Amino acid sequence: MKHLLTLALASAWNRRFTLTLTLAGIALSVAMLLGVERMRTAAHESFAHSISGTDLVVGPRTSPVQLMLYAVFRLGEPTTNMKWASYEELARNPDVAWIVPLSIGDSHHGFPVVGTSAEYFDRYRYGLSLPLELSAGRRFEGLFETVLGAEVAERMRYKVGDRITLSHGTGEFGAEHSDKPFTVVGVLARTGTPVDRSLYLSLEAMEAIHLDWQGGMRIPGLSIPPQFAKKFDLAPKEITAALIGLKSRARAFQVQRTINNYAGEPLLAVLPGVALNEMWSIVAVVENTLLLVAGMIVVIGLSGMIVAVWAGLNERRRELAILRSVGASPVDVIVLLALEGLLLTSLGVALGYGLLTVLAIAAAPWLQARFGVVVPAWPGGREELALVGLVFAAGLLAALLPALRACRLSLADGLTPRL
Amino acid sequence: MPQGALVEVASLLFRWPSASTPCLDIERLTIDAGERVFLFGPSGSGKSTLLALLGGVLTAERGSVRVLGTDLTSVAGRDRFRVDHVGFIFQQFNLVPYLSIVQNVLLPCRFSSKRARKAVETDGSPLDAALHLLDSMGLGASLRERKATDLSVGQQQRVAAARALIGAPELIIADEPTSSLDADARQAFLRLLRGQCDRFASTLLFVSHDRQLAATFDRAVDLPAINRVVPDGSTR
Repeated sequence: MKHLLTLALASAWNRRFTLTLTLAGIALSVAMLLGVERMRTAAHESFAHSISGTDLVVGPRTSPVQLMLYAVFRLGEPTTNMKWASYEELARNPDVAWIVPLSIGDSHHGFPVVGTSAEYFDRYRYGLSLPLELSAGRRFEGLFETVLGAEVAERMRYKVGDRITLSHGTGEFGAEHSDKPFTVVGVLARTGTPVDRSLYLSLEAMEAIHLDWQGGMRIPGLSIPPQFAKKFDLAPKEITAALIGLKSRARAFQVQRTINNYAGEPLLAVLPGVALNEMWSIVAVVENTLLLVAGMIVVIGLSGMIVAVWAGLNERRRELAILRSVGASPVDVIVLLALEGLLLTSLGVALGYGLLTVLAIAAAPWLQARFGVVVPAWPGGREELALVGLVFAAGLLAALLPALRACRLSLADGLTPRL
Repeated sequence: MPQGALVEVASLLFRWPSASTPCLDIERLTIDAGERVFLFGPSGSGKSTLLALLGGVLTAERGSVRVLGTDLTSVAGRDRFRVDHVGFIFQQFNLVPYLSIVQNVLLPCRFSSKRARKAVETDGSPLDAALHLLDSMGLGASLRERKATDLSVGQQQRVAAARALIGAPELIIADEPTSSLDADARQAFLRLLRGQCDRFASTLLFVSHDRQLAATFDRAVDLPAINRVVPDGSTR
């Protein structure tokens, strides 16, 4: 067996230029397959870990998935708001233990700005019910004060005491609220959730920066300096969503029904877990399609290997006859060719892994900032191992095709290949 | 010199899988141990097929092929038997192109522990045996680590002979090894090959379509004369 491996290695090395191309194909396709799988797992995990301890998410009537996306994951934009009066009504519900308002829509260099109450820092939980913690400074107390997520502070190089201005809307180039700068008073510790990408300020501050705005535009000729903002009524009129904790989880469905039938305005309450499941079931089609396409690409990569080895067989009939003459059995011929295929597959998988690791490390900051998804650089879970196993099985199968042909040729040729 | 029959072919019938008529039908062919036999046959007369049968690469439809008393039509592990007891030299393209010359010579020792052991007995180690043989075949040290494909045809044939001889197999089968050599190289090759067969006490079966070479052998066998299949495919 060892001498066959030596022979297979020497033979492959002799054809290294052709085989390198084949190898590149396999490596790229494996990197793609594992990359898709890893992104999928990473997305699932980061979404599932983004919220815990919240029993209901409430917002204006829309689709449950959309509400979850903007209220919890800060992806997309709310199209309508819910009235402050509705919020107060909900807060009076005897089943509600706590309720935290969220006002979303502004941004700072692409990072979402969230208007909320200071209670948010106590109530919001992520991962396995972990609370938010400040890594520096304190919570907001004054009007023009803001607390930053870890990612925002790190990427923008902000520290406590810096003054920043917000943009209107969620685009990178929205109009600036430059007349009312904010002071950074606190930075949150990293959580690996969308919290890291958000800026937090009070609902009153949210009202204040929009005092002289109407319909997404600054009102021409009207400018209210920050020192006068406090003279206005800064009580919020509208919010975009609210997080609710219940006294008893068992009441979740009843409270949900009550909210969904609320007479004041059309509202929607969702259970985060149920909404996430709904989201996965929608995304599953895309995920499976992606995996299927990636799988097909691996098949193409391995077909390249079959073609390369198969095409080389005719030139190698002489070589195989020589090996037969010095004692190689037909089985040895199969093993020799299969070893070559396995060798290519193994190298392909290894290179694919390497490529993926490099890519994952290189793209990690971008993926985290852009999508809040942490893609691990190192091999993931059992699904990934199963995929690698499948690739190996397919590689062995692909190697056996030319191997069996080589065996058949060699049996037909005897010691004198008829070329 | 060893005595007795080394090769015994009896009532042999062989047909290629795709052919309707037999290729070989030989009543009897015997080669004694230590003999130098010249097997003559024009091209297409089934010479190479007979050699493949003697090496156990092909198996007969009927009859027996005995080498060293072992029937190759029945024995399992024919491939092992072949490398243990038989060394082959072909007409051309004898060498594995991606192995060095020394590695080519060492091939039989890789597949057969018996050949490796004998090489140790004669020269101390398989590598020394290979180097000694290459030296005896007139291939200097400068050539040894070269790629097989860098050599001239004559040099390649001598490497092939060294490979056939390493580990002293009982039978050397040479299938037209000189037909791509010029007259001088042919004589030199034959001299070297015979010298080494003497050294290892190996029996030599030398096949050629060139009758002129027959004179230097102990005995000449005319394949068309013993093969009952006539060229049109029918059996005599």
